[in-house]
Amino acid sequence: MNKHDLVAVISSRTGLTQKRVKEVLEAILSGLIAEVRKNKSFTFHNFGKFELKNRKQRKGVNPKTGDTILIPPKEVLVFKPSKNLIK
Amino acid sequence: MDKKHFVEFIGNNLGSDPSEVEQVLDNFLELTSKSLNDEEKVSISDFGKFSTKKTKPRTTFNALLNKEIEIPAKTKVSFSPAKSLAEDINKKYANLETKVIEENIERKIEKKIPLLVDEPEISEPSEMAAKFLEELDKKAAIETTPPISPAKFEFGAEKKSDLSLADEMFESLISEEEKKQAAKKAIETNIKEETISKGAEMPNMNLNEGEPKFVLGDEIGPPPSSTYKRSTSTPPPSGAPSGYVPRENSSPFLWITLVLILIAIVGVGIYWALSTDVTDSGKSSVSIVERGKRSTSPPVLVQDQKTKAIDTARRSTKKEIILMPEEYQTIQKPEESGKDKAGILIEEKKETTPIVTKKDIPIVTEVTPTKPEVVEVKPPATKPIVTPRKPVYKRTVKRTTLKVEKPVVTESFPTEAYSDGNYFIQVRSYTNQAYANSEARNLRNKGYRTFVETADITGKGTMYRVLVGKYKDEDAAAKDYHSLRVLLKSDNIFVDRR
Repeated sequence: MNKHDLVAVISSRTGLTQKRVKEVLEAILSGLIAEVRKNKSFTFHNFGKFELKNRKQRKGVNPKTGDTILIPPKEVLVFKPSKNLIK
Repeated sequence: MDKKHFVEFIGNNLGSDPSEVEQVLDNFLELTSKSLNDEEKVSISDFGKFSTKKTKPRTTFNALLNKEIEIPAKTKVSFSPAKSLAEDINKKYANLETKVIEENIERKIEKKIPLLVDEPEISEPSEMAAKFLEELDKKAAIETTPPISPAKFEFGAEKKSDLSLADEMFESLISEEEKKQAAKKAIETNIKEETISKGAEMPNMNLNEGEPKFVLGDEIGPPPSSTYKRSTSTPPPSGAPSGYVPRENSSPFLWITLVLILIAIVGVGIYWALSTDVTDSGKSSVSIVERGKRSTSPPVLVQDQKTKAIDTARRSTKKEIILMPEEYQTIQKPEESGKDKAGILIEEKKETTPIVTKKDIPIVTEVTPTKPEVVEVKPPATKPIVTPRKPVYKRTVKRTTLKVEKPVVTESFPTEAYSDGNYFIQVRSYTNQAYANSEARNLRNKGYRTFVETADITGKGTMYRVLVGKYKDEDAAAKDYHSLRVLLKSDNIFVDRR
């Protein structure tokens, strides 16, 4: 299932136009990302928690050449599903 | 921020009714969870992908309860953010890149070492030997030109160069410039030492006489021996002919005296040549060792110091040539240890013996033109070069033999499950035989009867298939088939009929 399918199903359920549903859905997702960036986490009840986690810089080894390399720090968007998401 | 506030916030941003947003959001969450429950992926562009993953049941040991617990199979939800989103999140780290802190030197060295071991060691010594010989011959020629009879002095000079080479070849491992300088110095110093050490070595020579090998040499031998045995009491080199002259002066003819004078000049020349040989023998470690061995032989003749010196010179030159192939290695080894840098370099490479032998060869071969004895000795000298290479081939042979052995071992593996049917389970196929063999070995250790089958596949070359079997029919193979799939975590296992 992709975004197009979602929009089609939601519009059929709610009676809104597909264009409008798409607008709202994209607003929700972008708002979600903005919220996660602001507060580092955001939770949808009975769905799951979106979390922004820091990954520290670390040493690694290039398996091809065997060189030891320094991997820079980064942030990862992590989703932790709610217990009720899958039954 | 909870869902209610979130909906309001977005509704305000869009300028629409929050209930509209809530409807969409609720449906979105419901649909995604529903499709995830149906094990269907939900991929939203520019956001991410929700997917489910099945885990297998597994048993772990619970230390608290002190017993094994079985964890049941379940489905997990995983979310992977879209690339665009991930990059957007990591904008502040975009300028950072992975840096190479340390380059792996070991691998580079490992790759380079085999090349160094194989090629240059064979090529270098011969080249080096040739260079040194050229240089030394030139120097020797310059030094020996002043005397009267040049032909015989050249003979002495060649020997000199050969002997000094033995010392200098080990120094040759150091850089080329150092070698050249060292060679020059060595020659100069050796000549000085030889002149000084002549007198000191004489007393030792007394014990060395009375051996059959010391029969005088081909070219130089006969004339000086006759002269010097007669003139036992003549101290200086010029005195040798003078001892001659009075005895044969009885002949009346003047021109015979002239001939005698000529002989005397020649005799002086020979003496000079032999004296240079003595100096060479004096410095080299080979001759010293020989003296120690020869000292057991009883002294028979007692001659003047000079005559002894000449004899010992001949002996030393002869002995050195004879000893080289057989005992040269053992004799030279202490020298190596003495010469720090060269010795250590060789030890580090762990190929002390082949190097020594290789370097000895040029010396031996270049001595050959003068003496026929060396030709017989050559084969033992060449043998040690061949032996260190053999083990390399042996290793490869061992690998091939291992392949052959494995199926033999597997056939003797007794289990009830197997029969002589036509069904096999093909576990994996490799292009590398070693991998296939190790895989087969691992499985055999876990109780499976394994084979390694070779198959020529067009486009891929020879493949080595790891098979488990044989089974009577598919049902017999099914049990092992499932257990192997779980064991190896591979879906590429299948039952095949041969």
